[in-house]
Amino acid sequence: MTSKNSFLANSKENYKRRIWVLAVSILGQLVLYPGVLTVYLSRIRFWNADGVYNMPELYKMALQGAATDALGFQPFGAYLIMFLAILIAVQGFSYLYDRKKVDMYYSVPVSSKRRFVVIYVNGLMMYIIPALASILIAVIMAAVQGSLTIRGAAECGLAILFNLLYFLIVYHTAILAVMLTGNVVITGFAVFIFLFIGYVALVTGNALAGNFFKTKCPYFEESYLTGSIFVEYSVKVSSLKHASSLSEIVRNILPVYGKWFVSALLLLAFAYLCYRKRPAEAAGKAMAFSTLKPFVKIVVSVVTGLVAGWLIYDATCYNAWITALGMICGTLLCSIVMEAIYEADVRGVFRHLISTGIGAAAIGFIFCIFQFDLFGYDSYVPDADEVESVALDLGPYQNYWEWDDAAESVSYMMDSEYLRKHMFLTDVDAVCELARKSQGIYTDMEDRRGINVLYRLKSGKEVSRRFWVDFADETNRELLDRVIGTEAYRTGFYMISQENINTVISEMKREWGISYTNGAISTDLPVSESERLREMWLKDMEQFNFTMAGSEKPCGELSWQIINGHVRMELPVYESFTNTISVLEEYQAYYPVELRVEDILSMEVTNWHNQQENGTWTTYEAVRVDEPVSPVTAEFTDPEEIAQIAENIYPGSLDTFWMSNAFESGYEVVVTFKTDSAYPYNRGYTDYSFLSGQIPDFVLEKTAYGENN
Amino acid sequence: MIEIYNVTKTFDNIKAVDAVSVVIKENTVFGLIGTNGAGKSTVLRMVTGVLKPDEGSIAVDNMPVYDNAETKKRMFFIADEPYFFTGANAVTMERYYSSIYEEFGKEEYYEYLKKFNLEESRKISTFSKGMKKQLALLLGICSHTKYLLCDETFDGLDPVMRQGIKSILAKEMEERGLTPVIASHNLRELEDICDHVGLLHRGGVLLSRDLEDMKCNIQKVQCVFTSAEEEVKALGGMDLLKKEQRGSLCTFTVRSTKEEIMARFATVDTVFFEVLPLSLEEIFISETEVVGYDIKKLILS
Repeated sequence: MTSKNSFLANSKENYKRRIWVLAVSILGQLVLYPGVLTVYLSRIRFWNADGVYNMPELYKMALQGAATDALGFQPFGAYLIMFLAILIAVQGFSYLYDRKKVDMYYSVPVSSKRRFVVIYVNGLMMYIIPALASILIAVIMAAVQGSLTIRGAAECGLAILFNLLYFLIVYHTAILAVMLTGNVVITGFAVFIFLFIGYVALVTGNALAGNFFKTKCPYFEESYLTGSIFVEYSVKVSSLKHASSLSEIVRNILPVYGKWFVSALLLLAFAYLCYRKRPAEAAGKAMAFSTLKPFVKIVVSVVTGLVAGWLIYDATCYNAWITALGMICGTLLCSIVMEAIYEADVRGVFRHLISTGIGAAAIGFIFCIFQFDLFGYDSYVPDADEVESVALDLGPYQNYWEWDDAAESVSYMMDSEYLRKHMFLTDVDAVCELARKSQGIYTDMEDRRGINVLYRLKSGKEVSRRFWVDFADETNRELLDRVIGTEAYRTGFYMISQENINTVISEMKREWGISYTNGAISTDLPVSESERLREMWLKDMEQFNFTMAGSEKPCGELSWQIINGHVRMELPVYESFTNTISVLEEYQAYYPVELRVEDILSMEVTNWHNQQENGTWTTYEAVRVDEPVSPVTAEFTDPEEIAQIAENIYPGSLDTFWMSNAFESGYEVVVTFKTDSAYPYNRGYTDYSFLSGQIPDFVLEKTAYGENN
Repeated sequence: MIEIYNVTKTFDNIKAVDAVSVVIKENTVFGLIGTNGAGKSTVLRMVTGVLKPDEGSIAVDNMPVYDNAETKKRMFFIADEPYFFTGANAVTMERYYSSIYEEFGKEEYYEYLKKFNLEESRKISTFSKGMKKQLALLLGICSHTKYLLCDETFDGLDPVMRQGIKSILAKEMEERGLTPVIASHNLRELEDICDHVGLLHRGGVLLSRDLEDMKCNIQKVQCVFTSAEEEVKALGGMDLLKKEQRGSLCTFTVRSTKEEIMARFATVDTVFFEVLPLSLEEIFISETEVVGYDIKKLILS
């Protein structure tokens, strides 16, 4: 028997008032786990009946995958758990909205602390017990159907804690919202604000910064913005679903557990503090604490102003002054609406004009920060003394990956992620000088290239910027030499620099190989020579710098190809790379890049008549047309013409990124080789490009755009 | 004993209760009267620990009341609009209160329900306003707390029910020393119940007196004097609060005991004289007029 006025007695009585919420929770959790599992498995069975899985093993794997998806990290959780957490919290503490209820609950001999704990714990149990029961049912269902795997069970366990922490954060946020407000409608607004205002502020602020600041560098920034537990949950679930192994999931989720746990605790502490301080007379009012009114009003109205600015800036095609007006109007409008809500009276819109004015002034100041770069965002270049190291993205695109031992699979990496992890340039002076020199210069460059830079400051902070550099400028070239011609750059940029890379590849137990191509002829090399080739190439690369890369074209490309070429490492080879070339020659893999005219059967030149950004057509005849133009193709079989073209073309597949305007971008040359050639051309034809400014006149004439085309 | 000392409460810059000091003695019926907005409910809500006073202190049996569950065990508060759970019936409410108040008398409660013809299984939402008040009173009485604080609870009860409740209150006061505190805006509702009355006006206390003291010390005398000299002789040295004359019939309100008046008038030559009892309403009119208020406008209109 439960003793009178004990925790259990209070708890039991509280449950009686909340049975319908418990029912909703049970229903929701049944849908979330057994329901979703049933749908997922049914779908697989349907596809199997349709013949999608041609092997029993594949079908079984699909069922197991579906069960793991349903029991583990599923996207529906973000919505359902959030809904349940808000419902449970708001219903539990809704007595605070009603004076009649407050009179009763506050006058009975139950301490406010006990009342809070009873309602809080009951609410928590309303989520946990149905969740665990539903998961258990789903696990049994999956096990009975043979779809449960160890990974599925482990993911399920990890997801239970993940979802619980997500629930706690939303639950505590909703409780806090109840404590700060006096009626359910305002609580709804408050919950929405708490859950999403951070995200909205970040997204809009970031978008405006991207629009106004020229050096904003999304490259090294997080690929997603959070600021909202809902968004963070969705993003995490998405990334965890694609994790290749359990260890990767654990590695990714542990920091989230820690962060969310601390966040949940802080929110609970704050919510409880507000509960204790909340006056009974707050029931029915908009805000429980009148001192918070101006602060909330200013924050919400300023964020609304930011959103207005973001929308208007795009809508007006980047008209800064209309944007400023829109931001201020948005802030003022939001302020007066909030004042009307506070006062529960439309006539209250013009009250408390000081806070309205502060909001308008704040958004005006924010606009000025963007428009006039008040804090010197675009002119920021750290002192070299403050910088520990730098990661630099100049291009070209690389294929980066990592081998996951536990999962025995390859994880692809973003360029920025790899460079952040591996590139630590210590010649900070050169980078800072390059950045400083580029300040304020965004156009009028001969060879304009964007550079993304990540400064790792000694303070532990990381700052990223994007700036533009003229590759053709002599001083820049000298600075770039100091940056690129270093071991730190090579180590950070080329995966082959990793000392154990060949061991890693061989331990993958996947099909792999090494080949060399001069653009037209590809030759496989024995994998047993992989380490020697790596060492020779790295030795040759010691002479590599920007001057060399900008003046010398590669004569070929060495390539590590794994898993049927899906994973690659491509390395440029220059004629000065004698060590590498000597190994290639040992295996008859080295062929000069220059074409042998006698091997060429024909050449087909296409002028694409590409349109440039400014709307003109980049053709040698400088014709401006308003209608799209078809490409013009001409075939050349005359040996003299072929000889002239061959002198001026270069394999398009070879990397000439470092060279300023190396090729004519509007032309393509397809070379068809004779089948009886002494050289082992790997295909009957190969793509080439004209070297910049070296298109023979007869080619220009034959591929010109004219009436006949 | 409930000691309210210099208590002030402000809502949105409006002072609802301003420096109120009242002592509510045990085992008496305390009536708190005042117009709408006088601060009665606010005082009761502070006394029961619902509201926290901005200034001053409230002690119930020498213990603070705000956020103190131990003190609240001695009190039951019936608000002006008592709250009952959605879909609840009399049994549901008994189960709730009996889980909170350790000495809740279940058998007694169900007996009272029968006596007052309140159906146990009927949803409270279908009860009339008066029936809800009766139920709230029964719950409060059966909780067996020392203090029962009722906010406008008796207003609107029919005379039979009021009499029934009064009887129960009297019984409980006698048996276990219950101290009811009853707030009302209507003096007439309290007249036959209260031992002590506090009058609130605009957040402050106009007066606080024992009814018996007031009744004993104020008398109404109707008489016809034989001459003007006799009238002067009779009234000389008496604390005359009010005098009315219709023809030769004089009506006096005098602050004095009945015995003193009888003794005085026995020495005066009158055609007729009579000492009449004053209603609470008349006493209040007299008392408040003395301090410059027109009570009729305050609580009798």
